[in-house]
Amino acid sequence: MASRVKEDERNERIIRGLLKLPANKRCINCNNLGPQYVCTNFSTFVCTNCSGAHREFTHRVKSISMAKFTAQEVTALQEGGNERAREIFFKEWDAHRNAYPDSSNADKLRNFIKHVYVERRYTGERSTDRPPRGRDDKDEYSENRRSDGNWDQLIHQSQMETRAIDPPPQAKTVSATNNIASPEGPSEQTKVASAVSLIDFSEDPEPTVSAAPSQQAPTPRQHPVSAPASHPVNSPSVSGGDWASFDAFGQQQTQQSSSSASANPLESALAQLSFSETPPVPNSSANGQSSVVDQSQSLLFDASFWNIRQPGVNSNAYPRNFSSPTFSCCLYTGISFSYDCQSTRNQWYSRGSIFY
Amino acid sequence: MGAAIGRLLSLSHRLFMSMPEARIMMLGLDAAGKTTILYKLKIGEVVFTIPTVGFNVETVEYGNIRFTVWDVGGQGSLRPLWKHYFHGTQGLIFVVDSTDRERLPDARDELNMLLNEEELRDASLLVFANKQDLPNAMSAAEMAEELGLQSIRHRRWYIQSGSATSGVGLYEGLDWLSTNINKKVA
Repeated sequence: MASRVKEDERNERIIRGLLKLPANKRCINCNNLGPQYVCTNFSTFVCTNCSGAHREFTHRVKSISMAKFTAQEVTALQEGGNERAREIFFKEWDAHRNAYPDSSNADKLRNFIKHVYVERRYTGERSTDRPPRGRDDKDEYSENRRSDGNWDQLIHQSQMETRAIDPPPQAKTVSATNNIASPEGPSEQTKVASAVSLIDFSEDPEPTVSAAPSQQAPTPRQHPVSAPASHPVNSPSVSGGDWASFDAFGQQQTQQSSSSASANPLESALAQLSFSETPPVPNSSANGQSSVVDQSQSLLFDASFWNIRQPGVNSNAYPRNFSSPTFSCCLYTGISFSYDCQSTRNQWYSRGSIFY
Repeated sequence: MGAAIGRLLSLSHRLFMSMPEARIMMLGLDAAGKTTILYKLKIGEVVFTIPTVGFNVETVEYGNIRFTVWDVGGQGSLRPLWKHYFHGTQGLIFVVDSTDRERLPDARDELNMLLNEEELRDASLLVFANKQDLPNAMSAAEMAEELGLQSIRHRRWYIQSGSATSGVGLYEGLDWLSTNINKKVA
C-alpha cells in the first residue's frame, strides 16, 4: 500500500516535471496556458475544455492532479508529449494558415479535434483519400442542409427522368469529396458526386441535338434544369435545357478569379458558374424554350440565390440533419446521380423561391 | 399583488400537494456520462461537459416525485470523497460506460465498495449501462454478469441500458427508481 502511494507520488512528480517542458506548457489544441489534463490516447497535455471535447470522441483523458497514472502511461508521456504529438498530428498544420480553435466555443473545439485526431487531416499521411482542403465547416453545414429534402419526391423525379433519358455510358463527374465510394460495377457506370459539386464539368465539346421527340426534355417550367448533368460522350442526349454547357468555364474562370477572390469559396465557385447563362456554344435546341431556360439558369446559378443556404441565413428553414446526400445516392444506386443532382436542384429551386 | 398571490399559491401547493422527494446519488467512473445524464434529465439537452471536479446537483420532477440528483466527479482521487454525500440517500444510480471493457473491473470494485457502505444500506441500486449508441457496446446482460450484479443480496437492483446523448433509457430508469425507493414525504 505504502509502495503504491509512493509510486503514485513519483509518477505525479514526473508528470509535473514534463509539464515544465516548453511544448507542454500550453494545450496542444487551443494553445491555452497551463494544461491540467492528459489525453492518454495521444500522450498529449490538454486544457480542461479540450479534455471535455476529447471525451466526446471517447478519447481517454486524465487529470494530472486527480487521477492516478500507470507506469506505462508515464513512460508514454515521457516519450510522447505535445512536441512529439505535434510532429505527428500537426505535421501539415500551419499556424499562419490555420488558427487555433477558441477554447470557449465547444463546437469549434469539437470540429478541430475531429479534424486533427479523427480525420487526421494534418498528419501528411493518406493524402489521397483525405477530404480536400478548402471545405470549411460552412460547406458541411450547407451540405447537410441540402440533404433534408423529400426523398420520395426525389426518387419519383429521378425515375421519371431516367425513363426519359438513358444513363450516359461514360459519364464523367467531378467529385469534390470521396467519403462514399461509388459502386463502380461494370453495368453501372454512373458515379456518385457529392452535393458540393453539383455541376458537371464534363468535357463535352459540343452537345448533340436530340433527335427523337420522345427524348425531349421536359418543359423548363416543370423542370428548370432538366438536361442531364453529365453529357454522354457518344450517345444521343437531351439538350433542351443545355444548362450544363460549361465549355467556356476554363476560360472564364481566369477572368472571374480576380474579381471573386474575396468571396467565400462556395460563393465564388457559383459566381463563376453563373457565366453559363450566356453559353458560347450556340444553343442546340432551336425552339422558343431556350430563353426561359436561360432565365432559370441565371437564377439558379446566381450566387446570391445559393447564398440562402449559408449558415446563419434561414437556418430555421433547413433543419440540420447529418445524413449526407451522398449516402442517399448510395441507396439509390440504380439511378444516375446526375439526375439526383438535378432533382435536388429543382427542389431547392422550388423551396428557395418561397423565401423570395 | 401578483407576487403575493404567487406566494400564497406556492404555499398552499406545498401544504396540500406535497411532492415526495428522493435523494439520488449518481456515481460511476470518470467519463461514464453522469453529468451528461444529469443535464439531459434536467433540461433535455446534451450539454458540453468538462470533467467534473466536485459535484453537480439538480432537482428533477418525474412521476410525481421530486428527485434530487447528485452527480459527483468520478476521477480517481475524487472517489474517496463520495462517502461524504451518502447520508440520507434513497437511490443510487451507478453509471457505467458500456464500451469501456478495460475498466469494467474498476467499475465493479467501486460498486462493491459502495454496496458495502453502511449509509447506502437502504438505497436501491440502478445500474445505467450508458453509451449504448456507440459501436461495440456491451449488452446489459453482459454487464450485469461482469459487474457481478447477480450476487447482490438484500438490495433491490436493476440494470437499464441506454444512451445519455439520445436520452434512451433515462426515464425507464427513473420509472424503476420511482417505484422502488422508499419515498419520503417532505
